[in-house]
Amino acid sequence: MAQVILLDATEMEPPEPLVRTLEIIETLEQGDYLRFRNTHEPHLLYDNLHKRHFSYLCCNDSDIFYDVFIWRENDALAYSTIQQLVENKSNSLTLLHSSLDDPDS
Amino acid sequence: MRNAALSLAQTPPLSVPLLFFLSAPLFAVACGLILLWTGADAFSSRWHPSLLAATHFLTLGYLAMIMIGALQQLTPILMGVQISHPVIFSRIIFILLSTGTLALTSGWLWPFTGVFTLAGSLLAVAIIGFILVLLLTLRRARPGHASVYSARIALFAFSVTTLLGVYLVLGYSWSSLLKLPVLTNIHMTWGLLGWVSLLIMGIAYQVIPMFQITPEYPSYIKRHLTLFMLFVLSGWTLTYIFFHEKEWLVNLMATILAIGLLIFLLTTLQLLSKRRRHVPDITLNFWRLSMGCLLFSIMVWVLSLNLTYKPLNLLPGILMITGFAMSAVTGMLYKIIPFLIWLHWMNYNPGEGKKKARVPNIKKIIPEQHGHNHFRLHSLMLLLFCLAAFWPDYFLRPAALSLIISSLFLWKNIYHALQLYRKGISSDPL
Repeated sequence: MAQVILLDATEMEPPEPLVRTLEIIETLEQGDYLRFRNTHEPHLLYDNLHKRHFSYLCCNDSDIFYDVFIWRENDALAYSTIQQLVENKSNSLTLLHSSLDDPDS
Repeated sequence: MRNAALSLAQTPPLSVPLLFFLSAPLFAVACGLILLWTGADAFSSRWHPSLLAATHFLTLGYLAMIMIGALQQLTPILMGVQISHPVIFSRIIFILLSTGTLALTSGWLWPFTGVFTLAGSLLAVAIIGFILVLLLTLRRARPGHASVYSARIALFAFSVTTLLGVYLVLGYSWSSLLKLPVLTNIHMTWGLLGWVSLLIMGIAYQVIPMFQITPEYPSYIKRHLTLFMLFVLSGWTLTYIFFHEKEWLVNLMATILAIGLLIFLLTTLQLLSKRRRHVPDITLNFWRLSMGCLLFSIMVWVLSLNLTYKPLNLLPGILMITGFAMSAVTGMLYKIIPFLIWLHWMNYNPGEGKKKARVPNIKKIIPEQHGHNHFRLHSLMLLLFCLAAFWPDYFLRPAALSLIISSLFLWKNIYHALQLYRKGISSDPL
C-alpha cells in the first residue's frame, strides 16, 4: 500500500527541515511520496534531491505555504498520484515548478 | 543523515561571506579608536572630521560590509539565485570597499583632499558594481518573491545614497563642484531610512518567521510597505529640495516616513511575541533591542522637532546606526554564521579513506553563552553612546572603549566558529 508522509516544517528552525526531509525520503518505497510543507521555498533542498535521485514538484498553497511533493525518480505510480492531487481543483494548489522541467533530471 | 554530504551547488564557498563578516568588526574597532583618540570634541558638531570618519567606519566598514557579504550568501538560500564567479567577484568588491572606506576616512583624519577622489572612485565602483551585478542576478529569481522585491527597492536606495555620497566626497577634491548643503541631509536620510531600513525590513520578512518561528508578516506589509516608504522618501526629498522653507511640509513627509517605520517595528515586536518556540535565543534579544532603539529614535526625533537642545540632534543618529541597524545586523550574524558553517561542514567531503569530525549541533557552533556575553557588551556600548550624546566629556571615551571591546568580542566569536569548522574538517582550510 503506497504511503503518504506529511512533514510540516512551518514550526521548524533551519536546518531541521532539510535534515528531516533528507532522512525521511530514504525510507520512501515504490508509490510512496513525501509532502513537505513550509512558509518559504526550500531552495537548498532541490539540488540535494537531484543528487539523491529523487523528483519533486513545488506548489503554492493558498499563497501562504509552499508544498513540495517528493518521490523516487522513475516512480510512475507516486507521480500519477501527486499529479491527480495537484490537478484536483478542490485543492488550492498552484504548480510553481518541478524537477521534471529540468532537462538534466 | 548525520554526516552525509549535502550538495551546495547553489551556494558560494564559505570564504565568500566570512571574509566580509570577519573584517566588519575590525572596522567597528577602527571607529572606536578614532573616537577614543579624539574624545569629547568629536561630538562638538556633526561636521567634525573625526565624527564623519567614525560614522563611515560604521556605515560602510561595518553595516555595508556585513550586508554585502550576507546578500551574496542569502540570495541563493532565500531566493534561489547565485552571482556568477562568486569568489573572484567577492574578492574584488571586498578590496574596493575596504580600500575605499580607508581612503575616505583617512581623507577626513589627515586632511589631504586628493585622497577623496580616490575614495569616491573606489566606493562608487565597489557599491554600484555590486548593486548592478546583484540586480542582474535577481532577474533570474522567480517572480512574486517578497524578499526579491524588497531587496530591489533597498538596492535602489543604496545606489541613491552612494551616488550622493560620491558627489559630496568629490566636492572635497574638486572645488569647482557645486556645494549643496541640503545634499548631505538627503544622503544621510536615504542611507538610514532608505538603504539600511528597507534592507533590514526586506530581510526581516524572511528571516524572522523562518528563524524565530513566528507567524508570517501580513501580506499587505510584505507587498506594499517598502514601496510606500520609497515613494514617501522620494516625496520628502523633492519637498526638501524645492520647498525647503515650508518646514511644516518637510516635517509632514518625515512624519509619514516615521509612521511607516513604526508600522514595521510594531508588527515585528508583535510577531516576536507570538514565537511558537519559547527557548532563549540571542538573535531574538538583538531584534528586540534593535526595534526598541528604532522606537526610541523616532520618539527623540519627534521631540527634536519641538525643542532646540543639541543632544537631541545627535541622539536619533546614534540610535539608528548603533542601536537599530547594528543590533539587527549583528543579531542576524548569530543565525547566519552557525547555519553556514553547519551547511559547509555537512557538505565537506574529506576524500577516500579520510575522516571528518562529527558535525556538531548548530547551537554549539557559537556557544550561547558567548552570544549572551556579546549582547551584554553591545547593550552597554549603546547605553554609553546615548549618555555621550548628553555628556560627551564623561561618556564618549568609555563608549568608544566599549565599542572596541564589543567588536573584538564579536570577531572572536566568529573566528572561533571558523576554527571549529577548520578543526572539524581537519585538513583543507576553506
